[in-house]
Amino acid sequence: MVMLRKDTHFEIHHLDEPKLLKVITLDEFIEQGLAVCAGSAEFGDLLLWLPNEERLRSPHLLSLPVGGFLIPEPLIGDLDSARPHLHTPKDADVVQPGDVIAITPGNALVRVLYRRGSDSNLLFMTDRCNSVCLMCSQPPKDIDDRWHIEENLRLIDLMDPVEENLGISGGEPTLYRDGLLEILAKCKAVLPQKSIHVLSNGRLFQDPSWIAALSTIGHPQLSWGIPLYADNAEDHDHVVQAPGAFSETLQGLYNLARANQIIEIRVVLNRLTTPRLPELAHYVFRNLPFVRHVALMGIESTGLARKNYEELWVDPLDYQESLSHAVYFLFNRGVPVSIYNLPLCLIPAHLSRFARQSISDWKNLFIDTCQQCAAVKHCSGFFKSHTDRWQSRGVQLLSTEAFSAYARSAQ
Amino acid sequence: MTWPVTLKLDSAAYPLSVVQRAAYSLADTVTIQVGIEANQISLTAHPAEARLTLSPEQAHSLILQHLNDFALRDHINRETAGLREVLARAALAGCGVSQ
Amino acid sequence: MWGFAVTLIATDAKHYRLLPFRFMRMNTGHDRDILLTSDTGEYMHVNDAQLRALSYFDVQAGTPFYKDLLARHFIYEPGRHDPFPEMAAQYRSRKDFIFQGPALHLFVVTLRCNHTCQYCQVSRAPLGGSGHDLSEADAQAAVDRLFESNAPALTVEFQGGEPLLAFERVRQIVEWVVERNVVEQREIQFVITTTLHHLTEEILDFAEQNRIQFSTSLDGPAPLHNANRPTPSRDSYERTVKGIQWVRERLGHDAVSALTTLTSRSLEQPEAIINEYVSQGFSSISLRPLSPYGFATKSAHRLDYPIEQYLAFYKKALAYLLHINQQGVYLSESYASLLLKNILTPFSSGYVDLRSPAGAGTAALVYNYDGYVYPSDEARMLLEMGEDGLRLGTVQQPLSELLASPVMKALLTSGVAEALPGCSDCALVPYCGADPVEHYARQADPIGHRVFSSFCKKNMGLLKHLFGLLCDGDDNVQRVLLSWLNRRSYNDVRFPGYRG
Repeated sequence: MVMLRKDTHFEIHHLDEPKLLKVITLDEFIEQGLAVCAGSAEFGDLLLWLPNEERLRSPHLLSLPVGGFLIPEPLIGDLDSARPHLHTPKDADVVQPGDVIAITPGNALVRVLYRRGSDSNLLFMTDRCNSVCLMCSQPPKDIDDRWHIEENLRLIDLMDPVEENLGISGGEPTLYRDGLLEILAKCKAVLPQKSIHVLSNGRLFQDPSWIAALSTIGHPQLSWGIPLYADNAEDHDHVVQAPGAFSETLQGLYNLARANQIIEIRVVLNRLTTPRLPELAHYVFRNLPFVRHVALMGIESTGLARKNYEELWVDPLDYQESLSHAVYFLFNRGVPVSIYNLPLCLIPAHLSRFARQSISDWKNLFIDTCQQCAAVKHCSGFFKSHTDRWQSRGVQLLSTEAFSAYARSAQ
Repeated sequence: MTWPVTLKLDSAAYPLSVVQRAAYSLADTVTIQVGIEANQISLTAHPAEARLTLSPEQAHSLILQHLNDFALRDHINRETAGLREVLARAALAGCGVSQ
Repeated sequence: MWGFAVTLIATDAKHYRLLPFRFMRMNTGHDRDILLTSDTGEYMHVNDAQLRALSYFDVQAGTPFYKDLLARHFIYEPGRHDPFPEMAAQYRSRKDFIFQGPALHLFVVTLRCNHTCQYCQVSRAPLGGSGHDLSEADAQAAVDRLFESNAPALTVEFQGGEPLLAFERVRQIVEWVVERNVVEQREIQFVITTTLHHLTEEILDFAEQNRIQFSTSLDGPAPLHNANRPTPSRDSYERTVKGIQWVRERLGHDAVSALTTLTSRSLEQPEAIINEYVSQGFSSISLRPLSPYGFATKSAHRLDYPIEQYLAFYKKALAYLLHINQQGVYLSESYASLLLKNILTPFSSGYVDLRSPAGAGTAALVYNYDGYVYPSDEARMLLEMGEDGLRLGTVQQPLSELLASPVMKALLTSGVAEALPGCSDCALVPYCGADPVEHYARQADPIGHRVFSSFCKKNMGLLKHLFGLLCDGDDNVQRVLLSWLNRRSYNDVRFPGYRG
């Protein structure tokens, strides 16, 4: 499995203004037309996928009423059109039919905002955040980037109208309250088949006026992923570097419950959170019994995590017992629980049933050791930011026999 | 030591309510007669049943343990006065039970 | 050089304050022998030094013990996190049942019965007469009372005597309830408590249509069961087992459940009783002690036993149950399961006989054959002892009136364990309940003296025993107990996980 980035360079011609465009093949254009988009779209939103061979064979295609053309290879011959066109991608795999891309005049970088079939698409709300977690993989920026809201509203219209998971995250999405509510309402209207999962620290939900606003949306498949890093204020507030965050998050969780929202608790596993992980599981069960899922997540070693290495790094082999106690505590009491972002060689067999292949395709990689591993198709692998410093001493390939034995004992 | 077992307590350290609760909790073991004097409370304990197997020494230490435990509970209740009611009121608001 | 001591301005140097909690010495001989329980029902095991340190503000901040005390709501830090919202949430969850009206409605349709059980708590009327049957008018009024409760889920349980001897009345009541429920839209469960000796195809057809479940008495293997429950044909066991099979054939394996009643003879045979339940394919057994009502009291000198004897029996039975569960046979003890729910979760078990405020009248109502309404099954059994003091009123009176009656008020005043002597200081009070009716029956006083209370000894004995198992039992014991808690198979609970 090769990690697939979310952007690449193209040669771009005749682009006068920033655009969001839906990449569509000729067949799709003929069979579905604008119905390939979930919401309201015009022909001008479509970017026709046009390999050289097709164009040279049928030059009249250039007169189709689309917004522009994408040649997924170096250009052969001349392209006689005044409309925007892209060719010679640096990485030809990055942009594919069905994707929605964002292009800007004067910028050769093409961003993929929506990737067909990826199941890890997300609506990015903002780089701003009201916490500064020690392990933040996306360090906050103090800027006004409200423009994301408009871009997301537009993007929703151009997605495929299919059942899939769609995330909303940032930074802290609730910082743009009205924009977020508008986006959720539009998701319900235009993308009712998609399950929406919003990542938020939940702190702003301590304001009870959110309750009515959220209840009104009535989205059929909406859930919230909220991190809780400790069973006490001091430890949690230290991890998120924000005094009062624990109290605010708990209040927020109760308000979300009052608004009948589906809530998932997320915990990043590091040296600060793993010693009291079983106690945290107990705290969640006793105080937040409405939680529908608990996600225990291997750490992503990028962003702020790198400078906080000393406080954060712990070899997963050294927290297996803590992890096992926490997982089975929850599982035995009927709370669904999953382990994310840890390779199978670092998870004891009896916990493997909880492991999920969770790393988004665009940042997922496997290292050399993985090439001969029998478990590779079932394993979450590593983050693209992975380095030796953050590598467990336990990383190893599993032979076919070892993996079969492992799979059997996982029953 | 023989029966009856006697104790003399400083009523500042062991208020009457503490003594009463201790005596109540031991009612099937010893029958305690409580005498109130100036600054002290005197306890006289007899076996509650003829076939009690506890020795006077054991009874003495048991009574003292219960007294100390109830004194500690009294301290805890004073330190947390009112909180239990506030909690119950907050938790049960809206259930239709009043007073 | 300085000839005087510098006096510091006195400040309140306490870095934490106490939250209300209770403690109990478990007398197990362990180091951490003291059970602490918070008002939320969370608990910890500590030793004397830790209890003193906690109480006198001497626990060092930042230590694991300190963090446990904060997280489990024994202490809080003024000016920092306010734990009241989550404490109130746990407390409310535990007392959730207060927010609804009575959910269990017992209809005593007749006192006629073919058995002469030694411990029976109701007078038995001859099979032929109908003077001890619930009248049609009273039955109709009772259905009206039923729907005056706002509980979203209602259980309608038919009792007796032997309810199947008045099956026509049972049928009428079910039909009226179903018809009325078209509008009311509650979740209704029907149960018939019966010996199963008077089953017919017609009865089973009707049960199938209306998804009626059956509850029967199975005291143990044939000799024990028949000795406890004589019938003229001396074949109570055989006919009951036939009845169980028949119900299962027609309505499914789980359509019938069974209870034991334990006489002193029963107490000699814990394994035999359990083995009987295993061979009859039950997944749960209820090992409850005799109650002090009706005929049981009159024959007390022959049947009754000190509660200590029951506790010794129970511990043996439980040990045997733990053993067979580990061999792969799933059989849970139902009282232990509900106590475990109280201890290990923030939810209430829902059991009407172990609640504070007491469930009599608030959780359950009994519409007796004589047209009077009682707050519990036990209360109407006191009637058979010549004691009619616990009537709430007649079935013709509206529910609001019945629940405002002087009897109800007296029960409520003596029915809040947290306010009763003995209970208010007891560490087990979050997991226990009040039973004014039993105390009235045994001690002639609804409050009762806790030290002489069988109700207290039973619950305290069982709770202490379970705490001991949870603390000291090996991993496999934990797995069995957890499998009962969540009704999963033993194998599915692969590891016990954190014990809390």
